[in-house]
Amino acid sequence: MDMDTIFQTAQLLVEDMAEKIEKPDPDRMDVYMKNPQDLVSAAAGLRVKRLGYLAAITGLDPGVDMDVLEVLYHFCTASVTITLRFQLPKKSPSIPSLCEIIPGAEPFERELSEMFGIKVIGLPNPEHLYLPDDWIEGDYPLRKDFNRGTISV
Amino acid sequence: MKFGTMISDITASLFKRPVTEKYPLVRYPVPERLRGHLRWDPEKCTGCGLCAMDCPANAIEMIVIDKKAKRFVMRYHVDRCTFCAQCVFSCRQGCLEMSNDTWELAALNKEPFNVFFGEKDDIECILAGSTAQDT
Amino acid sequence: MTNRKSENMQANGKSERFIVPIGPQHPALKEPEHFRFTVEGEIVTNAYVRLGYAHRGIEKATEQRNWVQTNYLLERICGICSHIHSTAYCLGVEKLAGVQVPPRALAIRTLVAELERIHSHMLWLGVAAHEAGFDTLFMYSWRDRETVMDILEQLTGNRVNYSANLLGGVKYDIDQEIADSILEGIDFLEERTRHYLEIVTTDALFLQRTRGVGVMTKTQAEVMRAVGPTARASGVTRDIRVEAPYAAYPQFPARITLATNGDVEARFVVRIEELFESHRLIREILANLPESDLRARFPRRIKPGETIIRVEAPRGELFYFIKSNGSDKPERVKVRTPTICNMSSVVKLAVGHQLADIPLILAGIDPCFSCNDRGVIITRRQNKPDLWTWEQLRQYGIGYYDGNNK
Repeated sequence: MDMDTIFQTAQLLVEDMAEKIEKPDPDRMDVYMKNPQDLVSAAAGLRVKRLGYLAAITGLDPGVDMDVLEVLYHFCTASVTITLRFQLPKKSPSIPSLCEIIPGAEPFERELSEMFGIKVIGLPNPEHLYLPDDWIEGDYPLRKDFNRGTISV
Repeated sequence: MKFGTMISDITASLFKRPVTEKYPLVRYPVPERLRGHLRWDPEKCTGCGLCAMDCPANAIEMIVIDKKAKRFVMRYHVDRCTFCAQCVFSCRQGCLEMSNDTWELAALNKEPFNVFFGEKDDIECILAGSTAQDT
Repeated sequence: MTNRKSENMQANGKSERFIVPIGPQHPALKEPEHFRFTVEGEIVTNAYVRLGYAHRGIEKATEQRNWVQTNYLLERICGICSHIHSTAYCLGVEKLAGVQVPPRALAIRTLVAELERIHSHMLWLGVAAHEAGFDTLFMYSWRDRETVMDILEQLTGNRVNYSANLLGGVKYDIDQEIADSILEGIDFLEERTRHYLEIVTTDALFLQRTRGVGVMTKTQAEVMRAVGPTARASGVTRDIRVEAPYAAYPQFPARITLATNGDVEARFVVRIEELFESHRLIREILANLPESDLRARFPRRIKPGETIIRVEAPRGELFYFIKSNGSDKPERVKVRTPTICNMSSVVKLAVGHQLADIPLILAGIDPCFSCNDRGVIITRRQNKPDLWTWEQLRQYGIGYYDGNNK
């Protein structure tokens, strides 16, 4: 599959669920999704069409004064990366789990949930992953407002 | 399928001398590019502080005594240094260098790890100030 | 007494199951990690891994350092594949800043990366041979590995954490003297590597430990998202150097190395054949080293933007996501290391094997826990998790010996 075919197939697949589709680099496609509930169907579609494997899940905190969190699902095929981007409200962020269709997504989702406090619905084992078991509840290290014990460099 | 495929290596080694280096009894030459203790050339330094800003380990401190008279002292924490040589490449004046002969830096007390680069008077001034603060 | 006991056990319809805890501090593991293997007799029926003992919060720490400092922090994610982390970060940040890196610098980066691959694979060869109980191979391959360590020391000044990369270029040039000593070292290594390939494919005793052990089929490798040599040993064509060439790989194309068996032997063969590919690439780069500057000027602040960079580390695909907000510090650096992808395959493959094969299966993916430091994965043979807490196990033991277990 060459790059254009991949982009075209992916575009057809996610068009209905997307708010906008951008191409920041020649080998990247960023899909801004409307609804977090569409994640599983979009990911299943990408898998069925053999458009990449889930390379990583990135969580983003755009800033202390913003009331959203962003979650990025990167799917890679050859040199192409298709990113599904979701915006979640910071007050009660939640997203469905991909473990049903992609078993290897579990460590990524657990990392996401403990580092950003995003509730991943349907996660088989929502225990701590990186952080100690006795980590303070409701304290999410990768959020921008986390500054306890910050070492200024 | 074979047995004892490494027997030949072992028998060959029987007739060779050990390859273990006898450091510290014998000191072998170090590679030319080895990064050791930092060296500073006070003539060229303008006190811009880029080295301190870029140091990933916070090993360099610029202490300015008098900005107008260009009196400053560079404090180098050898124990924090990771010997990455970023400061050498950040310096636009080329006044920093990593020596390849001073690399045996272990010591039993802390003094050798706290190095001041600068004019003698300035260093004394800093040291006097720090002891005054300490007491 | 014993007979009566075993009859009792059978009468209760229970088979004897034990959990063997390994780690976090354990002589069989080189790094802190905790495994729990449920065994029935010698056969592993369930595996559990708790990672995260080496978690150092590096992703958060990048938010407090400037672009230059972050390079050295990320280089220290892993001691074995340090250069590739720094290369991935530098390539990403340079793309973000729109800085054109001189071709000679890219070629030298690639050269160091290939030398690092040789040193990493040789290290792995030794460790894996040691886990299989073949310590002669371990000692000799590590002795030969010193050659490539010396080359790296001569080239960059350090044996590990070379600090060869600078944002916008590299620090050290290659002159004729160094090129000659690299070629000499590579000739020696190639000869030795050929010898090791012969050993791992013909030694009868060693093959009993590796052939047919830990087989991962191509479909399994794809489903479990295995990366790097682990995936290539199962016939999955996944090599970022070939799929999406970066740095100097467009000028010096790499060839993919594949095996189809998917067992531990295939992983040995793939890694050793990759060494030959690295030797070839190093010779080609040295013969056609482009002439140019070594460093481009690099801005202190980087315009806002996001970038994704993928590179092929010795252990597989390394994924970086870098976001800038226009200041002199990164907004977010996300690192996804190869071991996290391969770890789920280990836990899956362990089930059904003898406990004695586990170290070799684990070593087969070339795990790097410092890179990894995350993840708990459980595979289950039954629907219910069969994990016993220490207290349950203790109570069971007490009950067993008190004869209350009837």
